[in-house]
Amino acid sequence: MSYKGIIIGGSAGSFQVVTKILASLPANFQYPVFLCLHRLKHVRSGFIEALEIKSKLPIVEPEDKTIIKKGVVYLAPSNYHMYIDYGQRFALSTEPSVNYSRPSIDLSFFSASTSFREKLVGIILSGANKDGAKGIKSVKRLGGLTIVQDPKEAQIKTMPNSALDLIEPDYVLTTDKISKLLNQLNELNEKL
Amino acid sequence: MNLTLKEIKEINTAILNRFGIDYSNHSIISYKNRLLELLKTNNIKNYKDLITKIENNKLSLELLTSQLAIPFTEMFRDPAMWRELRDHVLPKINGKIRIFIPSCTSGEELISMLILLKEEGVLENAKITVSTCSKLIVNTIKDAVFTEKQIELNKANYKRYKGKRSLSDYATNSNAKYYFDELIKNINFIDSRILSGSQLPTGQDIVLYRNKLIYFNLKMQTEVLNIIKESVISGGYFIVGIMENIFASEGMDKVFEEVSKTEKIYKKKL
Repeated sequence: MSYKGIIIGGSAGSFQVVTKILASLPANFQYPVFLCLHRLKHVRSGFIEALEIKSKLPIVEPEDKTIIKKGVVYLAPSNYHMYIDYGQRFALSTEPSVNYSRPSIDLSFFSASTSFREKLVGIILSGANKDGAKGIKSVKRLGGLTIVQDPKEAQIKTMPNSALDLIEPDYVLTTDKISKLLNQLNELNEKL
Repeated sequence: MNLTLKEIKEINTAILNRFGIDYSNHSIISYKNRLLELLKTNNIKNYKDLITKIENNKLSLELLTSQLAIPFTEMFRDPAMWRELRDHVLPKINGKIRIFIPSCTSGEELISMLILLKEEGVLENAKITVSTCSKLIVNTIKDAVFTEKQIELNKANYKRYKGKRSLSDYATNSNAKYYFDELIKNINFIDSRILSGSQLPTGQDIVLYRNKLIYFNLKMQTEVLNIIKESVISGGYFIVGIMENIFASEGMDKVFEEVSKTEKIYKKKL
């Protein structure tokens, strides 16, 4: 299976996990990575800089209608929902919060799964609310690959457990194993 | 419930045939969300029933357009933009200040602007025009009622804006509701959809058009910008949402120059 995008959702306790995963990805990574992380709405800067320290891939907050490119990590901007639109562009939205969150992980996952269907890898990490559970269910329903961080490892288990309540994902993995899997997918993709 | 692209197209055709309004160039995901919300609010079972209602005059244009509009959710959203407007834009405008807020879907932007002008002591010098797509929206803006929860968020934004007073000074408070209606005076409300060809004000010193372009596809964004730019006076200011990109539309670099990159404040070239 050749995938076209990786989407990662996380909240409280996910920052270090994301940093580790990003640090493990090679500079020639073949997929775009969409990060939908809950963050303080009024803090606009600093987050990218913190994530960037160990990443070999560029990290940006996409402006509305930005064209999606592989090998770039896209972080949902604060106080906007981030949609992956048909036609390979981002669409941002100020629609009301969902699950008390804007960006909402569910909304990002719904849009990405609708656009990429079976060519999407969805990953849910540590977090303190259930945002993302319905989103990863949508990834599963449309044939994408689903991964949930092992609740035993997750700092806050609510988010992975909520996902596991709704679906049986393809993998329940620790951070290191998630990194390993993404690298394997990349190597497979290179050979195709 | 979900809607497929094909179903959305059929709904668009029905709206276009009945009302002459084309929704086909709206950003598809948020538009789909609004349609689903509309079905829920009006207890409509499926898209076929919606089409029947539209065709048989059971859903008025006013109701349809107001429910498809996406409300603004915060006063002083992006406080840094409001500070920039207050400290660096306003002092550059002499005499009468003509302000246009197109396509208002709720009152937050207008109220924030009124408070800013009042605190700077220039409200009397300002002439504000607000356009909406529905009279129902005008009523909502004039009523200017906000819940306790909304006010908490607005207060936090106002504090970061570093306003001179307390936000609640501008409201009357009863039964856990806050009323800002006293502020909404001398506003010129016009009924207009930007692409409908109706007359928009010209010679405006500030046009505040934040987080509207995100709901259009690139084609419609470009069409809308080409109309709205005519409202801004040469040397006047045009402001969009902080994550919007007017330069994705061809030709806009010839019309506008950047005044604040982070706050997305532009100046119309002479």
